[in-house]
Amino acid sequence: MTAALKRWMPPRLWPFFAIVVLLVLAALLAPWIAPRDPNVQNLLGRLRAPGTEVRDVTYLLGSDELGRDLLSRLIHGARVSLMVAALSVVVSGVVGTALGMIAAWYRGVVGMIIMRVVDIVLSVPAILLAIITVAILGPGLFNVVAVLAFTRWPRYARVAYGQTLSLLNLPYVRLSRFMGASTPRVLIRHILPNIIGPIMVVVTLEFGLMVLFEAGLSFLGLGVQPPTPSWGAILSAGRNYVTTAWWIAVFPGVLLFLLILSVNVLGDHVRDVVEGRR
Amino acid sequence: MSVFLIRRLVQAAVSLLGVTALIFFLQRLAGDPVLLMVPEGATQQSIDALRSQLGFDRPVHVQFAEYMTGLMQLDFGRSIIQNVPVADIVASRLPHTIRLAAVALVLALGVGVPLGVFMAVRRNHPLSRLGMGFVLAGQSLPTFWSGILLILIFAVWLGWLPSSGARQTSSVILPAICLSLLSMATFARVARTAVLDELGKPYVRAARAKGLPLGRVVTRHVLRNSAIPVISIAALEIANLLSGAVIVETVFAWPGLGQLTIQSIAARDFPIVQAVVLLGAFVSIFLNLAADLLYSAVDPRIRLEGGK
Repeated sequence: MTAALKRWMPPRLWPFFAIVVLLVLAALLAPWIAPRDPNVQNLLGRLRAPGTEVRDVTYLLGSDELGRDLLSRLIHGARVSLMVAALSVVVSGVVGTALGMIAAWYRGVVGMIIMRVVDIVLSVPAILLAIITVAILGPGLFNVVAVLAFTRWPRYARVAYGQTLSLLNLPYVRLSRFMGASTPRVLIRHILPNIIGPIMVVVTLEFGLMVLFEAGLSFLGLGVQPPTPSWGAILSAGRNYVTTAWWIAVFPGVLLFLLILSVNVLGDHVRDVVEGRR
Repeated sequence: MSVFLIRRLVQAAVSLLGVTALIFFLQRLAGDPVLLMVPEGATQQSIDALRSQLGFDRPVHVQFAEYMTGLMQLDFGRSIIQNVPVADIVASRLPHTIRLAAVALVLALGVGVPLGVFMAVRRNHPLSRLGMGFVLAGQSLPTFWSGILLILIFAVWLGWLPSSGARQTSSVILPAICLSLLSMATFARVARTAVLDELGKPYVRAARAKGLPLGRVVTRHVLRNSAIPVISIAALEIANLLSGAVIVETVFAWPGLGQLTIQSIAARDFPIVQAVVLLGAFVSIFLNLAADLLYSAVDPRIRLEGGK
């Protein structure tokens, strides 16, 4: 039991795994575990240091410029970060994988067009492409997901394309085509299960990047709009009070850093396992 | 040589054209481009006036042709707010971004590469473990957060360096450190892997067996051979530094292209945003091309494979 567990996840990774689990739990249970409503303002309790008590309300991590409880805002902010990242990874993953498989299956003109578009989208620095798309679409939670999905699908398409090409001439695929299986059936039943490993590697490596992008866009005022608590937006507001209330900018950054670090470390591990290095 | 070169050049040209079209049509796909440029609550009359003034009432292919012709002549259009050529505004901000990115690149290379070499040569040294921690952390640090931390520590608490703007020479230090951290971690990781690969090769063992001290083997032989991956990564990192500057410049109020972009989005001055993104894409395509050519110039195996 323990040996299997250790092989699946070596002990040095447990702290990182624990951080991700904790943040996911915080996001799921936010309304029940946050000590206060994240949007309730209290003008008497503005910019209070961590641990201050104002009229029977204790601000464990301090309060922000409108007297909102920072801890509660951070807990609700975990929802935004994780939801945006998860949604954009799912959308870009599904779209990219499908297009990559289609490009490999049909090759010819269809394949060439898809893979050229992949090259083109990937040749624009991702953050610039995200910024110009969000400037066109306008900010907002679902627009951010759309933008991130649009910016990142080529990563999956490239991997799916290469992997699918390598499978197309294997006997079992040719046999299933010969037996009359339809294109969608061959792609989904026979090819997808065999390329899902490398795709999952991209998913885990992209997840941290999506968290970072969402926070970055929100920091620039192009992401999730106030009063919805997003770590990037809280950080951005805290920047104006950095001399008087350092905690507003510091704590959301700590969470962002821990989340991205943990996801990246776990992602590296997934890659090593899938590529059979361990 | 020539087949690979031509293929790669054609590829880059297609990418350039594609990116230009992508950005041009993105703006139109999302709806009326004029609505992006007028302030909220503008009257229908003024919207129509602006539309015909900017030529948006003509067929799309005519607009695209005109746009492309303009680009060939380095005409990026006019700023809607300031009513001067976009090229002039961009040119006035560009030197700041280049200065910031150049200092950051020097820092990243100057610290990252020696760190990586050290981590490879002295694998089990406690400092190497610390270095690996830095590499891991550096890749997960959001620049907008590390920037605020740097301001908090060195400008607010210690008062050593200016926190923002570009008025003093020393103003560049904090934003450059902030911008360089990610690339520094990348250089350290790449240099470490490259040197480790070389150290495992027979010629190193032969040199050691001959009695050459490790330090001399590294400086005389290993470093030269492991320079290839580092150089080609450097070209890609320049592109990352330039796009990373968008956020860093916002944090430090550095008057470069990044700050200009964000200001222009807020002011709905779309031609400027478009020009900066195009410029970023062009530079990135060019640097990718340069990295590939550099790589193939040094390593003939890639050239042969590409020419097949």
